[in-house]
Amino acid sequence: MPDALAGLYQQVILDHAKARTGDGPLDGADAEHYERNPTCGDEITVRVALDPDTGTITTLAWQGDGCSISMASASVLAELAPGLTLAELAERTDAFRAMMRSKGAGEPDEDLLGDAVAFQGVSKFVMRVKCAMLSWVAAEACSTQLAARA
Amino acid sequence: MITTVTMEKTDFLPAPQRFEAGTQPVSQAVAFGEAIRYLEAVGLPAIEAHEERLAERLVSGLSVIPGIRVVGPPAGVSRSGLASFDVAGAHAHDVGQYLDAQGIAVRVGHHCAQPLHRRLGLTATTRASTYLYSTDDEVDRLLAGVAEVRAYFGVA
Repeated sequence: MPDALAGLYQQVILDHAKARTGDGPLDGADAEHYERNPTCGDEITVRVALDPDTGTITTLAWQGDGCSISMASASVLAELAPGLTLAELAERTDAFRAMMRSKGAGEPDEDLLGDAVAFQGVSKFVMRVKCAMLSWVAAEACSTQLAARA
Repeated sequence: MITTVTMEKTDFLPAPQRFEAGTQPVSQAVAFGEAIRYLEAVGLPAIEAHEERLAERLVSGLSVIPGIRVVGPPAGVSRSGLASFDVAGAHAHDVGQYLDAQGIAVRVGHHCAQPLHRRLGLTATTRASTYLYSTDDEVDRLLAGVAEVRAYFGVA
């Protein structure tokens, strides 16, 4: 394996890219958003279902086509989201975005981000940051829809 | 270019000079002449033969790697010195990143041919190209790198 890649393709990322969490349709979703990266053709539709009583996310599911970074990121997000309120998801999205913009310099909060901290290395590869952000941006748009309705 | 400009009126030179305002690309024109002299010294038939030979090495080499699908003419058919290919289970951007880490530059994406990619059932391909300055050894290094990609991403 070329050493230069070790920081980019953490084993966690390769595993999530293969065994994907949340990859599939979602019946009865409360919000849905399609996001696309025109420079590379990666695309994703994220769907979110909420618990009507508590307002927390019950399921975040997605369907997409793209590189291992974008697919693994969506998988990690789908694992992280259930049980969170929209505000808690926003907090994690902000932390993830800050990490992705850090160019490798940030110190991500593992308690907050879980497996998503594996993407810290991706932030050094500026061309790949958008791949990692794709599903998070789509989920953010779902949250905006839901907040507007509440 | 102009002849006289006043607040009321602008007079231009006759064509074509009127369309050639500003500094002419002198250095580019000189370099263009030198480039042509260089290519003629090497010989256009020699360049074509070199390019075709490397293309054949590239395409026939790619074609026998498991999971690689070359798009365009198959091996044995004359083509210019490049090939686009799909790596089963690995996205072109990941393939490109993997090769880049070995100092091999390829282009990845839809190559400004989205409808063709859709027709082929692909979203993106990897494209390697050769020219008169490329060598057999470089083609072989690319082939070796491509042969490793699927195992690296766990899709072999």
